Amino acid sequence: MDIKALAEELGLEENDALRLVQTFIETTDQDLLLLERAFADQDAEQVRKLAHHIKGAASNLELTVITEAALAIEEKARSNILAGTEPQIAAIRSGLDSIRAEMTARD
Amino acid sequence: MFEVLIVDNHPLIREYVSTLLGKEGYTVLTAEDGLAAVDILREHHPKVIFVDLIMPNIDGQALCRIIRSMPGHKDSFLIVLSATAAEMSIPVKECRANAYIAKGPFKKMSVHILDVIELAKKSDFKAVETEVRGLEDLHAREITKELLQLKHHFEVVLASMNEGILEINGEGRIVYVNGAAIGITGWVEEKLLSANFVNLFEEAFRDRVASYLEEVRAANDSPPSTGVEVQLGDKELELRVYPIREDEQKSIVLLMDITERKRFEDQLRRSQRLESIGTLAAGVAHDFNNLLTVIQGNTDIMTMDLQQTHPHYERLQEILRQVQSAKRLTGQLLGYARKGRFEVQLLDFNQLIRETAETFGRTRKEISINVDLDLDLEIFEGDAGQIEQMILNLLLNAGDAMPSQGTLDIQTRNVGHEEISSEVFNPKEGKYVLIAVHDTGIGMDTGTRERIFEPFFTTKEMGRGTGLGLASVYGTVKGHGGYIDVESQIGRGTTFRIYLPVKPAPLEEGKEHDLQEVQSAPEPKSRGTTLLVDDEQAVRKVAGEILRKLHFDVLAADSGEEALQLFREHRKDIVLVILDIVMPAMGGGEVFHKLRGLDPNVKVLLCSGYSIQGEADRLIGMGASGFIQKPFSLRSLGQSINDIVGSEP
Repeated sequence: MDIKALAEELGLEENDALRLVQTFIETTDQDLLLLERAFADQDAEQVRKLAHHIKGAASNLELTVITEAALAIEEKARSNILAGTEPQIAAIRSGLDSIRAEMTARD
Repeated sequence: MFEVLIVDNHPLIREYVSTLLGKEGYTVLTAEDGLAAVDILREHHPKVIFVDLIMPNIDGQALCRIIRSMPGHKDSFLIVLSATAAEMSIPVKECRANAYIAKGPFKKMSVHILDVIELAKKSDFKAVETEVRGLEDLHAREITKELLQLKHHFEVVLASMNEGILEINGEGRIVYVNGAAIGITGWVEEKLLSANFVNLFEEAFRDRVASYLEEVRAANDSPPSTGVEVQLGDKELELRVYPIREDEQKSIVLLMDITERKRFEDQLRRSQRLESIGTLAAGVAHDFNNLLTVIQGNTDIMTMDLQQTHPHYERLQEILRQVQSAKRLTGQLLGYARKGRFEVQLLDFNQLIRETAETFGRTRKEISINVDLDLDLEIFEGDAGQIEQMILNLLLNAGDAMPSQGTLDIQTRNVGHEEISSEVFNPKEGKYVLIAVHDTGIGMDTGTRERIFEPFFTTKEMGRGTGLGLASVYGTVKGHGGYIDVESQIGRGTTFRIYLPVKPAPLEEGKEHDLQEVQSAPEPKSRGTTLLVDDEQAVRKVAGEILRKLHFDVLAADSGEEALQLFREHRKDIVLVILDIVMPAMGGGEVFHKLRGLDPNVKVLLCSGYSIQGEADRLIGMGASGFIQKPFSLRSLGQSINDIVGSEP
């Protein structure tokens, strides 16, 4: 993730952009944990709400992979279907992990 | 200092917008939901406020309304941030915001945010835009649209409910209300939202509400099945609380306005109470009538055997006079229990009032009486004696409330059932005549007002009132199928309003069996055998003697079984059966039917300490020959017998 480019695009200092991404990682990580738990409980409504939340934040930062995966989960959960959403959940998890890895590498 | 408040439940939006604006030199405050925003706005006066539309704990739309109603924030520059602008039109009219920005990628949002703030400053915070900025970058998503429609559907459902629905958070603060909750509480939405639920109620009820909330929370999965009844202003409410499973901190409160129901229950309880007192009163009157029968019978017999010059003759006459007074009392009691005689005729209510008021006025000259009578008052059907007594009792009662002086207003008019619906419940359809009696007397407190129609209830000192006056008014009104209503205030006087149906239906009509005195003495020759059936030994004894005085041979039975046995044995000699209606084991009704089975032409004179109404009336309809009410005199019994078997030539 190119923090410098992101900072420029958003009209922020690099540090601010970094903090923003950090906030994204923290909130999305928390949302994803809850989503995984709701998935285990087969609570479709909760899964839908959390996917919607993740999608909103990811789209703010134009993180397409996470946005699309969250959207797919949201749509299925809306129809009360959770089966088959595992790959999308995994995609969010891996997308988030890789951003986190990049951030750690920067430190 | 240029303060900006950002209200959004997503930390990322708060973080980004505050960083962006902080960089531009603004002082930025943030709130995670509507409730937190309300708290901040009590202390701060930001010039610009960004409000997310969909949030927990007071949503954006409600928050906008609250902000616009807060005196210090009416002129704040309000910017709505919406993540759903592409899917659904923003309720611009309700929000009354200055500008709208669609949420999307930050790099596009930032342009709109900075532009709008510039616009705010340039226009002196007065500009109003209704177009949503940033909408062109978004594409509507069907799924969100559906969800929003669903949300809208629920909102419509909640808005149409009669029950008030409130959502409260863990601290007991209100974060959602529907329309009915606003109506029931009488608080405006802006005041309700963010208020502490318990504080809606007056001090006296707060502990009860708080402990109920506590109880519900503690009960967790099995909340109490009953609610709690409290008062809010002049309303009686039942409230129930249901914890929200998905969010343990929050609860839904259901508010039901039970004012009308309580009023109805109260009236029902009161009328049931009067009804049961009536039954009791009638029972007492019945037993007294039996005792009076014995006293009167024995006295009658003694009087017959004495010369008028005998020193005890006058004493016996005094006993008879007292028996008559006692009879009037038991008659009033039976009247209260609606078991009195009822002779229906067309009545000129106005005329009865005029006459009674005149009589009353002569006795209480210090009271000024205003009579305002509707000259077109409907002629109605009723029992003249009872109605006259009813009016007199009302006037006497009003007079007693004005011991020195005062004004008495008597009014009559025609009313329709719909006009009385608010005061009495479910009046039968049709026309009614109203008599209203208003006095400027001492008035009554609620406790007294609740009990005035109970027999023997009196506020007068011992010996002055029987406590039967208003009780018999009540009995008369009910007997005529009418309604009575009383309004009173201590020191301001009392108004009784009586509504009597123009045509009472069905009439509680009974045959008139007035106890007229016979003119001639009974004949001195045996007139045949009477079978006297009564479970009271003293009554059998005295009635037997009276019958013998009337020149009948007497067979006496103390039960239905014995009566049937005697009838079988002496059928040929028996010219008349005198049958008590109320007896243990086999009652008079059953005996009557069995006698008729043995001899369809049997002549039966019914008698009872109760009145003719009810069982006696029914048996007369089925062929019984007549009815005599206890206590009876020798002469009245003689007359009744003559009516049935014919007088001796």
